[in-house]
Amino acid sequence: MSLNRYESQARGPLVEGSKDYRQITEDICRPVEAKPSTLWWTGFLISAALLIFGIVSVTMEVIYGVGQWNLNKTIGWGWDITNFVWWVGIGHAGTLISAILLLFRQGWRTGVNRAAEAMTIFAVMCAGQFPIWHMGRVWNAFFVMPYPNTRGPLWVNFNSPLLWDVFAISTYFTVSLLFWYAGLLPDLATLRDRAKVKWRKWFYGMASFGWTGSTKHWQRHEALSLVLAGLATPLVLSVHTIVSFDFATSIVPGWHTTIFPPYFVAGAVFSGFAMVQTLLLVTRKVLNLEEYITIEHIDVMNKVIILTGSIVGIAYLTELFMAWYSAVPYEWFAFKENRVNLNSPYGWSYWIMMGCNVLSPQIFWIKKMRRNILVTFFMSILVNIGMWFERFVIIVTSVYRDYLPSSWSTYYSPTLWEVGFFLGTIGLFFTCYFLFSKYFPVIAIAEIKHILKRNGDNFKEAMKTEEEESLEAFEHANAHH
Amino acid sequence: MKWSGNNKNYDTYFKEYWQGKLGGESAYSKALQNGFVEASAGGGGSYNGGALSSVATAIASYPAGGKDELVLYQKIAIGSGSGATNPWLQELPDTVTKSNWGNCALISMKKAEELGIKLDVDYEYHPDKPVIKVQSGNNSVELPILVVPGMNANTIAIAVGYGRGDKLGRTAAGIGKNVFPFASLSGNTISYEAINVTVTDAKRKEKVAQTQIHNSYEDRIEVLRETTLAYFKKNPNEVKEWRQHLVDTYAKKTGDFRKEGTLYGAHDQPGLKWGMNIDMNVCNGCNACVVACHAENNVPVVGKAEVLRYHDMHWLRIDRYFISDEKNPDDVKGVVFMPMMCQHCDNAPCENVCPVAATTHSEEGINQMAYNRCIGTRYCANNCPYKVRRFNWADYTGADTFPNNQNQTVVGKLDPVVFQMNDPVSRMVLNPDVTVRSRGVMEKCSFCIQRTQHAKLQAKKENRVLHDGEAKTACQQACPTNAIMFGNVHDKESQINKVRFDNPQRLFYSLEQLHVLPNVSYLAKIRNTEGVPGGTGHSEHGG
Repeated sequence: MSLNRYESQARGPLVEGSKDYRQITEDICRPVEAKPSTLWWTGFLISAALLIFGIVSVTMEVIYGVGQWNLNKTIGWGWDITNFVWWVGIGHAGTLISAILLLFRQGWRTGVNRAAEAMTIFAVMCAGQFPIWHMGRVWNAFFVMPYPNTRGPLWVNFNSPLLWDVFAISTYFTVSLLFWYAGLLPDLATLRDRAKVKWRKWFYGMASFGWTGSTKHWQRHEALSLVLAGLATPLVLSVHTIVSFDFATSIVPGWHTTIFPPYFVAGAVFSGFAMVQTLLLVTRKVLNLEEYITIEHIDVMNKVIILTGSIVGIAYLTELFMAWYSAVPYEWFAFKENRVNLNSPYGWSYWIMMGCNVLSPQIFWIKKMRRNILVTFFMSILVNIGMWFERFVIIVTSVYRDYLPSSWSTYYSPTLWEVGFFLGTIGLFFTCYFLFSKYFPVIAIAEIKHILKRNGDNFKEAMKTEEEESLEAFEHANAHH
Repeated sequence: MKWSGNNKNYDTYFKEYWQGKLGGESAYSKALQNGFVEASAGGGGSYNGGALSSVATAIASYPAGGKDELVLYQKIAIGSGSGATNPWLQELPDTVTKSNWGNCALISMKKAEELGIKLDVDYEYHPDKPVIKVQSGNNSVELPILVVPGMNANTIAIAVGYGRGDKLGRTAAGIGKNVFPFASLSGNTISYEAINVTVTDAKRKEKVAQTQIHNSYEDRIEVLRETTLAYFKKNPNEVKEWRQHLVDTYAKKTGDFRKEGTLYGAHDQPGLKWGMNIDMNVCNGCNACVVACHAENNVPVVGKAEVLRYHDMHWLRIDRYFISDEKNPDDVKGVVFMPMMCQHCDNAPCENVCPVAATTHSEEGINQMAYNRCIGTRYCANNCPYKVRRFNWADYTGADTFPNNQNQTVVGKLDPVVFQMNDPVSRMVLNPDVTVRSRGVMEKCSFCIQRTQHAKLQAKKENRVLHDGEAKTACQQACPTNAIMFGNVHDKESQINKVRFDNPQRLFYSLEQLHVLPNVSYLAKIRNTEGVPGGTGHSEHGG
């Protein structure tokens, strides 16, 4: 036993299987260059079918009006805004992984950041559909844009949280997209250089913006990445904060809650990581990338899930306590009668939320469970169901019985087109993800090479011999200084 | 006249008849001038003990019926059925049951228990109600039930005037069931009850359209104030003190939470400022205001299918709450009617959430909607604590630019009555002074802005100030009991100011603790009944 410890004993290698640089390029480019499998086609066609159903659903709603949904005079928002907040939440993991973890120098992010960022972009695209299409007169949606116009000029209302959403979401989408694309540039150039077919050479040639890999390019690339990471970091926190303002600044009991901003951000990261797990567990299997997205990665992400899940749990209990402690009868009614009471019309949804988000992630205190792929996959689905219900609980169970008992609503359940719209965005999300996994490298080649030297299997092996070197030998070797 | 075998003209006939009655031409002229005929003072009539005993005998000899009795009644809206073809009246919710578009069997809570119908969450929150079969002799009818607290245990009440044939047009056809066959001729009068009926559970459900499903105001004293006369006499200043307490708590510095209760700062309202007051003591829930508002403001009729989806569009509704003991909801002590429309809050929660500033506040204190500006996010409706905003869920009035967009088939199929608005003749019912809103925009009470504008213009044209009472809202004008008062609150002499000044012990604003600063005030209802004093609910409140 030697005294020298260069490597953490607790962490395994982040790239398994003694890779060299060439092997990495081969492994990651292979799915892009090979013909798509039957599995890919099946998945892609199912997603596309869902997307088309979604388009039909939205078309019906635009032609016939929002009455195509079961919202009513009391419940103005239902599945639409629930889905919006759910998707925005999912879109949080990507930027957190790429920006915040970059600033914190977390090496493990390189295995998952590309796919997570892509997921973020697609999730935000899906999220954006809801506030747009939920409008009664969507053809006037451009009214939310503050620009000098000939309509008066009429200006937007800067007091409205819904307008803040417009800015928050569009900024977040833009920065995430730029960040993701900037990271893609060297890899696209790699694909261009490897291309043997004309169209592929042309496509990746155009897409890589003339990247040559010169030192100047790399230097600018690094600088840009850092700037974008700096910009994206506050956005990770601000976007869901602003989304939460839609509710927190209102006067509806159950919405009007000051704890919402941090609670929403934690919930967003929670659901985002769950979605990353769902996608990556499938991706690594289908594309044979188990050596890059390792159990180590899954373990780390499960730790994030239990952390954020527990924060969310504390937030639930805190708001419940505050509803009672505040002694505001309306607030307390919203929590006690509309949610906790299992015999109330929507009591069941509160307990699904509690079960999925607070209780079930506690299983990850056990290391064996964190490193179990099947358990992780099941849990990731459960968490996203739970997080969907969190938004449903907040939105619907608050507003359906608020101040005036005369206006308490009849039972709200979605129509075919409401469900269709939601399925459509799932279709959109997976259609994009399938196209992405076919035409882009799902792991950042350049970045994974960056950590290979320190976190690769072969490095760990090499360090082992170094560490096992006896003290005498070490002293002897360093004595000549 | 000729057919009756009389060759005089009507004027002569009329004159001669009344001259004969009143005794001479001068008496006739005087009666015309007065507009009424004074009945001869007969001295109050004498007590007739014999007649009373004969009435008592008649009651005693009334045929003893079975256990259950059926009572036929007329709804305020459609009456005997004479109003059945009027969509406004069909859409008008019944005063007590809050149901429209059809009749149902009203039963007591005891009867529901007897029939094994549970008054649970399912019953309250789903429009599907159990159907019962009521049979009397050869007549039977199957109707969905509504349980009305406080009803006699064994009485079943069903409204007449429904179940009309196709020939009566698109509004009345196929709505409800005809129960006139249960009426019978008893001597010279029609008996509107069947004293021996059997009631059985039909083991199925039918949908009942209601605009309000919850019966109790859950002791939410901030929403409305009502109490018994005895309690009010003992604690006359309770409401006043509560309001003062709010000011002391939330506006310590200035005593005015108009200044302290908002982030945005108070706006000057130098000129006119419209306000409304509603006296809940004199409101009897007759619904005249609701129809008046419907007619005046081109409020769309949405039909049963849409009311079932809680899509009714009434700008003004009358909230009805039963006052009963919490432990025994069947023991009804009273019913409170609270006309509810946009409260035109000076610190309106709907205004600051609209992303496109489609709903804004006017200098005159009116919360106004710019329909052309509205993109339909419905955020305002969510944030309205009074839930008075109404969204155009479908093209109810044929006012939007999409062709053929009323022919929904999969979801939200519209009733034939909605299509009436496509007829050029039917459209003549629309008030030309009021915009017809298109699908996808929010709408709500405007304090009849077309009327206030008209009154202002008239005064301006005549180069004078606006007099109190010149601008009347449609609801105010229709109210038979003068429960609704409307006017300029900056005018010290106005009726609205007087009524507010004269009733400090009953004056309250709904949900005043939210500091949304409504412009509609209410006067508490004081019931001359015993028990359940009200007003003793939770006294804590949140800002």
